[in-house]
Amino acid sequence: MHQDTIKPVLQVRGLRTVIDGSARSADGASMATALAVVDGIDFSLYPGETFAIVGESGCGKSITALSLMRLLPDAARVVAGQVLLQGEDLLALPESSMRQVRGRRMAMIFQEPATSLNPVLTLGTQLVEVIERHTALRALAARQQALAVLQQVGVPDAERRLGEYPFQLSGGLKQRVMIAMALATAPDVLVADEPTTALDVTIQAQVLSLLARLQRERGMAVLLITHDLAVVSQYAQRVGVMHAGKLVEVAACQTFFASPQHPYSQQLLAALPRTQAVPGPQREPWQNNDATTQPASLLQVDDLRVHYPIRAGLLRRTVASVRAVDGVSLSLQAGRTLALVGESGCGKTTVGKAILQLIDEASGQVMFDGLDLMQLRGEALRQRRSDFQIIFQDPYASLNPRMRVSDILAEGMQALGPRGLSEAELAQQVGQLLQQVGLPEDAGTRYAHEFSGGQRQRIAIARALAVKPRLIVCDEPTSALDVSVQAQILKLLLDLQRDTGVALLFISHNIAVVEQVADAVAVMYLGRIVEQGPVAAVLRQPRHPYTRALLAAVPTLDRPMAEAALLAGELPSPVNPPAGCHFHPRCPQAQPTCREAYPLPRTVAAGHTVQCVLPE
Amino acid sequence: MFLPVILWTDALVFALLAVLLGALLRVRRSAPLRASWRRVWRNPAALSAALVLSVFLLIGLLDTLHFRPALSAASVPVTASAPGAASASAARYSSEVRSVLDVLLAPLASRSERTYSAPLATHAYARETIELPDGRQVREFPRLRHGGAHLVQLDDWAEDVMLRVLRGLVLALVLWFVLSWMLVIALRPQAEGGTQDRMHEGSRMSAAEFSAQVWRGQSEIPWRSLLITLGFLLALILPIGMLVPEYHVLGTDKVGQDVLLLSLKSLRTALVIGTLTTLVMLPFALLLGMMAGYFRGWVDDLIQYLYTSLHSIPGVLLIAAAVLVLQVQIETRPEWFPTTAQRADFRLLALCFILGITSWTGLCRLLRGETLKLREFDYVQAARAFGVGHWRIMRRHILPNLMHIVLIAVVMDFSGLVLAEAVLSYVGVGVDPSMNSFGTMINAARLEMGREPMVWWSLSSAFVFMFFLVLSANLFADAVRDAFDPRLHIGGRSA
Repeated sequence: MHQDTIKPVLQVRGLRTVIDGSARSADGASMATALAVVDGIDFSLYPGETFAIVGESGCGKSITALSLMRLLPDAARVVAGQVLLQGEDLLALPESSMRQVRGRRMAMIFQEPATSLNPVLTLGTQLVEVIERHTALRALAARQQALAVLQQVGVPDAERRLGEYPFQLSGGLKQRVMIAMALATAPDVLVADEPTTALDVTIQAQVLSLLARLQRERGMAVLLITHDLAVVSQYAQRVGVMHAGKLVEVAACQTFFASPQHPYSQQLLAALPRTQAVPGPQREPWQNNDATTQPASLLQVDDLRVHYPIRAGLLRRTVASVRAVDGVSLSLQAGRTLALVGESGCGKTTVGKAILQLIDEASGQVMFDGLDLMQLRGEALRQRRSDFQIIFQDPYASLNPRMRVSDILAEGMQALGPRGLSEAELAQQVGQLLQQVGLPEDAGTRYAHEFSGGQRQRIAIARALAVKPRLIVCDEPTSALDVSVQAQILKLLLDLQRDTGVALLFISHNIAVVEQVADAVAVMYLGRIVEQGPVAAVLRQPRHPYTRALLAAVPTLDRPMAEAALLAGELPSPVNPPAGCHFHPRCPQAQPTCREAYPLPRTVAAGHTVQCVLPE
Repeated sequence: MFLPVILWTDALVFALLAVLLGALLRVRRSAPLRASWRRVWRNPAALSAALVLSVFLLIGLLDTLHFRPALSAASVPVTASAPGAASASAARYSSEVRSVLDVLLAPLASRSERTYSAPLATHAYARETIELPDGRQVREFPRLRHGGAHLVQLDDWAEDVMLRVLRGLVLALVLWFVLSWMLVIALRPQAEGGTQDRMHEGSRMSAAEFSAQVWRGQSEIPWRSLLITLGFLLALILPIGMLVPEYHVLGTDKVGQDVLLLSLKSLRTALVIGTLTTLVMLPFALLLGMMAGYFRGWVDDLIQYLYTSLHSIPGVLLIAAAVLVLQVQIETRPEWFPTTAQRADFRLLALCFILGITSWTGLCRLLRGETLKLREFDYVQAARAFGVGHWRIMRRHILPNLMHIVLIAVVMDFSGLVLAEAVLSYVGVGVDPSMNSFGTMINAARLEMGREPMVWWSLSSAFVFMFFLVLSANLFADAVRDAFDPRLHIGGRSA
């Protein structure tokens, strides 16, 4: 449709980027190798459109973006191709002219807003620097322009923010400032490299709709690089699927999502967990039967609190406390899955660790199989530890890089298993565990870093299983993984639950995943649970305004995003939470009573409670 | 006959060697460790550095084998009749403690001049007033007693030196060929691509084929660089060996001692100070650093106060005070030390301890910070969830992840400690004056550099020896660290 009438603003032809490295051939001699990370891709970008490049990690999408900007790391270099910005080949320009292009005609937003801003300069200085570098505006005029763009990107109280430093801003605000910096000089092309991956869903929704608005207003072309197909379906007009350095499919969004052509694209779409979908085949019927018999709770958490003291002064007196977890009650039956959902910083990981007795500051009651874990100390607690285990979010940080996989798996057995296990017995059990999580038998002799992210997560699962626990706390076990791998890991967890009857406390911010695996859901906001109940009830008929907003902010393939449902503002500080209901400053339905006291839990249906005053 | 003497530092060096041998045995038994060391040897720089380092170590070890030679029988009247006197008759040894290296270098030690002479010189470095047989006095450069004394015609000097160097080079070449050939014969691997039955016979690749492979740099372990280094070493050592009998290759110092001898003797001091001090320092730094970072709370406060206060005392002052106290002790208790060597050695050991106790703060601070980071890692949390004990967590999860810092710090400290010794000798609280060390050599160079004409060879020798010692230690440690860091050789994962 575009091709006939409008000229593309950016054309990429046959771009090929290699990373130099050295490898050893079989006979041991070293040879220089060049790995083609971007292997001959072509695409065009038209004014006013968003073209999304989607792919899993390692497919070369970020290197593509860096190649366009000519910001490649030292080991990488472009060996062939053209990047035509309005007909001018960027790859042929000398570096000095390229500096005129960067920021002026083509700007970039990076993934991690926390590290993209210089921490020792004020935002004003950083914004003005960009403006003075690329426009004729100077001094006061440049500052005026900086203020204007900050206001445009919806930074509240922009005047004051100009004099502030990056650490005074939250993640979402920092990303807004990054966008403001990129837009300050009105570039023709904006390259957004995973602009919202580091942000929470509600903030992601804010930032993406801001980008969409600005693009509409300015007719700018956006190259959106992401791994999230749902984001693509919401915000892009055309999509290119990248796999192993090649663009395997380029299509308009609607056609792509209706009928993906390439097998890889189909696979990618199939792996995506879908919200509002019929419960998947994974949910086994026996669990539903179980629900009628109402077994006693395996885990009963009552009024769990974790307050970290903030000390100040010479005598280190406690002046305030961070209320990371502020009175959480949960219950979980054997063989079931309870999901704990919430934005980052709401305290859900702290709940998980406090249940496992990994946090000294915790108070309250954690009844596990009729025994209060909080009262156990020393050896008594150590002996119970085999009953509850944890799987961490980042499979790269959770395995000791200095230990072999077999040692990692054997550690728990040696610490908690029966005394005097022989080497052979250990080896046999390690082999069994590896098989159980679908890893090759020889995996035990290798180091963890020799495995991919998904395989590493399997190792972490095997480590937890090694001591035959009855409860596993899964702390965002799939959020660091690609979608296709995520689906495999979820299936593995469900299979293991079916086979061993282990209970899972599934901590996640991803509603779609929760819907797939959980029996019950608890939604957390600022250290407290605002709503909990069976998964179908909470996700289909959310009662709390926060739950509704959270659900609305999740980008999905199936329905368009309602901009009105977006939450304004960000998570308040847990040091001094708002009085009354913690959510009232952001709540669209807040009432005067909300400011007075925290609402008591109210049962709205069988097993479905909500802490909100709103009738309904 | 002789009486072996084990000085305190000797004992510690032997203990260190025993530990190394034990580690070697462990490496031989464990396949993964063998693989890691194989990676070390695949690094050409490491292989060359290891060879140079082993030459230094060999010299140091030879200097560590101490003994007291028996006094000649003539001076001891033997009375065979009384059985009770048998022990008394057997135990007559010189009070001078010598090392194997001393014996090997005896010709060098015995041929001392009166004062300074330049490298390879035949005449003294300064004019002296000489009384001629006829009673006249002239000021001229006198001939040396030993340096070039065999020359009848002084014009032959250049020719003689050249000839000796050439002879040494030819010998080096021959020796190099022989050694290389032996190495190739011994190391050639199993024939590649051989048929099943050939393999069965255990036939090996032909020596010619393997040497061609080595020469092209295609062998698995870069023997080529080892052989090249060996060649250079031989080409350096043998010509010097040829010159040594008649010349002072590196000149002589103020009292006419051969500088080459001094440098070789100083190696042991440098190695002992570098390694033993580290040995003293490591337990403090490791244990306290890990404890502070891991336990935090009052343990952390206590350890931090300890090292902050220790660190804020000027180091040299503290060391000087400790050494002076010790010196008084040594001098008031002559009965502790039967020989001067034992006294000097005790002082060296004390210096190692004092340096070690005062220099752990930097590494400790570094390790505390790293431990603070590591203890929050998920794998430490996972181990805690398994109920693994604190000490076991530190040993299995924290310590291995600190080793790269330790290794780098130790090698960096090695050169720093050799220099610290020089500084302390300068202040006068270093090693015993009777003990050779680079520190005393550098200290002496202070005056030598100031005189006109300048005496440059003492300092240059100390410089060159220390440079190669520290450089090879650095290169080798670097390769070891790389080979043992599993994160650096990721197989199969790209980008």
